[in-house]
Amino acid sequence: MNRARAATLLGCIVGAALPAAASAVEGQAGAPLTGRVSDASGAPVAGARVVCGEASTWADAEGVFALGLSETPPPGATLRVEAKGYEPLIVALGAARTDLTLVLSPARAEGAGVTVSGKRAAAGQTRHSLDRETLRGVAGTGGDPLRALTLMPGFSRSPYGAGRLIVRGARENSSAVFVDGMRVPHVFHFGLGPSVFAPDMIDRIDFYPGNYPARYGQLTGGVIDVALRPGEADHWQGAVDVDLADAGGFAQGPVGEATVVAVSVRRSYVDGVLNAGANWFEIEDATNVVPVYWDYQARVDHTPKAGSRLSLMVVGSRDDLTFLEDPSSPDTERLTATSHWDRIKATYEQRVGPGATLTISPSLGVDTTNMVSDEELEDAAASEDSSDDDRRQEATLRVELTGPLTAEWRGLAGLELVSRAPGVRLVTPSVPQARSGDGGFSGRVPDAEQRALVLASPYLEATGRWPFGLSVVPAVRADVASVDGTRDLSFDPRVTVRQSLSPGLTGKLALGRYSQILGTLRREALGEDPRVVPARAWHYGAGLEWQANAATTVTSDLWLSRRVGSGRARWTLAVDEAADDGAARGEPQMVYGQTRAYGWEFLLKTAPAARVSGWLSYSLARVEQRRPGDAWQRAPFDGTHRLTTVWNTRLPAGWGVGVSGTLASGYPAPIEGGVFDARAGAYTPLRAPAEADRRLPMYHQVDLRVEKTWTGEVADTVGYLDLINVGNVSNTEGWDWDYRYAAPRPIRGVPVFPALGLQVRFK
Amino acid sequence: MNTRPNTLRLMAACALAACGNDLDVTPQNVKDLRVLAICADTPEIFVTAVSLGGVPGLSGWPYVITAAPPEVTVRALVVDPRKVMPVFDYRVQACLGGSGAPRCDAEAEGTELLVDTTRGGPGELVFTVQPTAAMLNTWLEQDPYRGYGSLYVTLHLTLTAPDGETLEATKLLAYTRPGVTPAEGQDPPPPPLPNTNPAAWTLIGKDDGPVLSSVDADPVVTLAPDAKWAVDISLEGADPEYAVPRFPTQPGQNPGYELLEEQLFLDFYATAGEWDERGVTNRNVFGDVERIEATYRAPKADADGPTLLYLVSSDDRGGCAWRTARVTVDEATR
Repeated sequence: MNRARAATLLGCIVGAALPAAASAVEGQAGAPLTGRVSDASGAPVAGARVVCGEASTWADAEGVFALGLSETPPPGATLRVEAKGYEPLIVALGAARTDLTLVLSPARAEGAGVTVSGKRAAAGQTRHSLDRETLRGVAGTGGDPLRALTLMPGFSRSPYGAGRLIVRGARENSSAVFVDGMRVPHVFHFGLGPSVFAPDMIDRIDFYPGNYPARYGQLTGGVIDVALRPGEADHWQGAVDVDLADAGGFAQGPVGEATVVAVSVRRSYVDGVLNAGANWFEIEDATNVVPVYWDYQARVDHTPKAGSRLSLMVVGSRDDLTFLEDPSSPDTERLTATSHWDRIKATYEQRVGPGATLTISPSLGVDTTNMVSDEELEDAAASEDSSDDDRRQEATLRVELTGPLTAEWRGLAGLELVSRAPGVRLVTPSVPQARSGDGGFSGRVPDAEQRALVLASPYLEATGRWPFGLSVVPAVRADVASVDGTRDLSFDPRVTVRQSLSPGLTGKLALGRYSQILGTLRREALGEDPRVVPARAWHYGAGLEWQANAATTVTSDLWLSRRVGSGRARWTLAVDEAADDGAARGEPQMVYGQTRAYGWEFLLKTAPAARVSGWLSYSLARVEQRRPGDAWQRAPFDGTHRLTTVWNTRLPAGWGVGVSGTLASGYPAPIEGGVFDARAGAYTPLRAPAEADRRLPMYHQVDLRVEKTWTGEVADTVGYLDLINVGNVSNTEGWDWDYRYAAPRPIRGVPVFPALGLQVRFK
Repeated sequence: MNTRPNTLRLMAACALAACGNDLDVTPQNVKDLRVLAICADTPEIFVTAVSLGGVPGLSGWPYVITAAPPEVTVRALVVDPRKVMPVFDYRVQACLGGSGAPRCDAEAEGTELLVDTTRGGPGELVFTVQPTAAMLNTWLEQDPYRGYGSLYVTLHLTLTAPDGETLEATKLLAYTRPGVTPAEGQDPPPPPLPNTNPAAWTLIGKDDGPVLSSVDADPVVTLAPDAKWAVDISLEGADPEYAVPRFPTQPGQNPGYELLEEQLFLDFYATAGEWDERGVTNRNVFGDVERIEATYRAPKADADGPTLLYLVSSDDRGGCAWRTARVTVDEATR
């Protein structure tokens, strides 16, 4: 990038951050709701968040708040209060609007963080949480909450604007997305489009870039946990969202006195837009590809009696991509690629003693991925072949018991059972294997089969808190994996320590081990010593959190991780000195790919209640990997430096403006030429030495969002225009090489792209 | 993240990004210095070795090579259609192959074999390779597969022009132990059969067009300016199968030879004119059809120098052969 342009951009980003931080504590104008937030003893709850409709504010050190409103709340409007370590409080507003007294109860769970809904895990060393209103207004995301999340520190930039969740430069499959603790597969439609979650159904997203709590497992990277919104209104409400790609609806409300429902459905019409565009511009063959996606989420919460709760949640996604050979012919050949997944989860929660809760959560899931032609579909129908080779089924049962252990300690004991079929690809024997086509030998090629995976994972976690500001969260998780009769036990201890250093300032330390069974397992040696060998990682972290004021937080985190990949057998030769004949013995030796990474993450964030809100973040992530015997190389997503900023401001007359910017190092691009391989008759790329650190050019992009809200008696209407890459910057996302790797041509990123949408929110 | 729908993502990405390679330069059109083929005679070398034993189920492996292998003659086709042809420094090294590294490491000591150095212009470079048994055993020690199947050796050819421009090419040789000791309880399988270089093909011009055979003494194709020469490729005489020894894997099964389908590729190159897309490299010409097609468009006029066609045939087991043909442009043939 041109140095002058980079400097200008950096100046804009930093310049935008400073006034935003300064003005973050300013409240809203209008007739205020006033009151005080306290606990049961009457002690003030400083920093409690008070929300009414679109407006929110924070209680001061005395627990006092004043919430500015643009107009008088309608009858039935609710006031929501959240604070760390307390249960959320939702009250209906009556006639009184001043001197309200709001009393919070201690959190039932471990209570390390804001307990907004559902069960929330104890805080890891670093957890970034964003709520619905923050997530849906980020410029450049089209209101997509997960895309907004990827602008937080800890995420590496997703190339080509695709929906890839790359955490701290690690491989994508080492991190995962959960919905209220239930793991789900891919979360972006077609890997490129919007995420599968409707913004209205999301209550909050927690992001653990590392050192995640014990209730999550089978990952060596990070965790993203999406909390679905429980129905919370005392009357039915709804919303309709329409944009250029899709339309969706959301509704929530009570069903009887003890049951609330929230449901959302969305369907794309990209196929229709493409058709209309092709007809308008008279472009032939423009509709050879017809993408269709839709998704749904629903949640029912029932409180049969005091101390118990029952909830049912369903989520799912459908991606269908049809390729037409001749779109103008009704009899054209077509090929359809589908990727579907569905999950259903029930949760029963019962208080079993003073402060103790038992939670039982069974869930079922089905993933289907295939690509079939019409002819194959007809053949399958004719033969009644119901082959399910492309289908994966998963059943999970989670049982958790939480409760106080002593005055200082609370405990969590959990058990997660997972049955997944097929779960892994088992290759046996691993080596030696004939390298096909090289002549002279054949046979003994490895067998690869899809096998079922069964996991039993008990975990324990305790949270100790002392009055002098120390909290300690030791935890351990064991994973017993069974694949085709082979087993492995992982035993992963973890600990997090937090210490209040001064009012508002907290120091934190964390370390732990994390295991993950990957998609392919290898038996070590010709069936003689079969073992399941998972990848393992060690995470270390140290950081500071500073609550600068009621609305502004600053966090700084140093992290280090080391990862050892799943084993691959290599044969060694050893001379048996003891044998009379001096015979050599071939012995299998497991060797492992390794990854080492370190970084620093900084976040300055202001609460959405402020007139200007958003965040400024910087991530340093240096990630290197190597195969046994090789030198360390930069990992593909070693982005090294990434500066992001997101700011939103509310203007008079219902206008709002948001801007987001990214300035990031180019990803490694190590190819430096090619060598002609006479055996293949083609060129093979050559990698530059690691010390050369060849990279793509620096990446920079600014996005802009303008929205206008029209307030009505029945509904509020929000129209928005989101301009992605408003400067139409031509970023290089990769190189397209000629046949001999001599002349690279840049592959450009996303040009300026508008997203236009309309939301109608019924009150 | 779950990455199962990778294919779907890729297809979607291609559809949205209109992916495709539209780079101007194609491998078939030779405009400057190129190495088009490296062939060895023989492509697979048998070595004398003794088994060390000790591995259950693989009593013939690992092994140690006890005698120097036969000498191998290697020919490289180096072409440059430019008028001014510089003199190059040629350097040929050998090292352990098949381990992922695409070429030899010039900095390595003790594990690289300097095969040849010479100077010369483009043309056919001929050299011989004969590593010692000690060197082969050193490579066996390095090989994570311990020579299982074959010991693979990379020949690394480097051409350096006076101005410092370099061109690199590699060729993989397979040193195979012919006698395979059976596992316990197995009857011995027959020995492997040596691979040979493929050389039998004929280009048959359609509509009474010229015919070009790999056995022609002086192959010349005469075409009208800018004319298309559409050809069928005949592989009459080429063997679509090859035999490998088979171990018994089931009770009652006897050892013997197993016939596997041969892979044969024809690569077409021209210094002027143009092969169409059917002349792309790496097309397996065996399969359900006995003939495939290709089309060459002649230049509009004879260039200052001769127009040459290079036709390289190769299998997937190291076998390789090439023929060079001249193209004459003559209006009278229209």
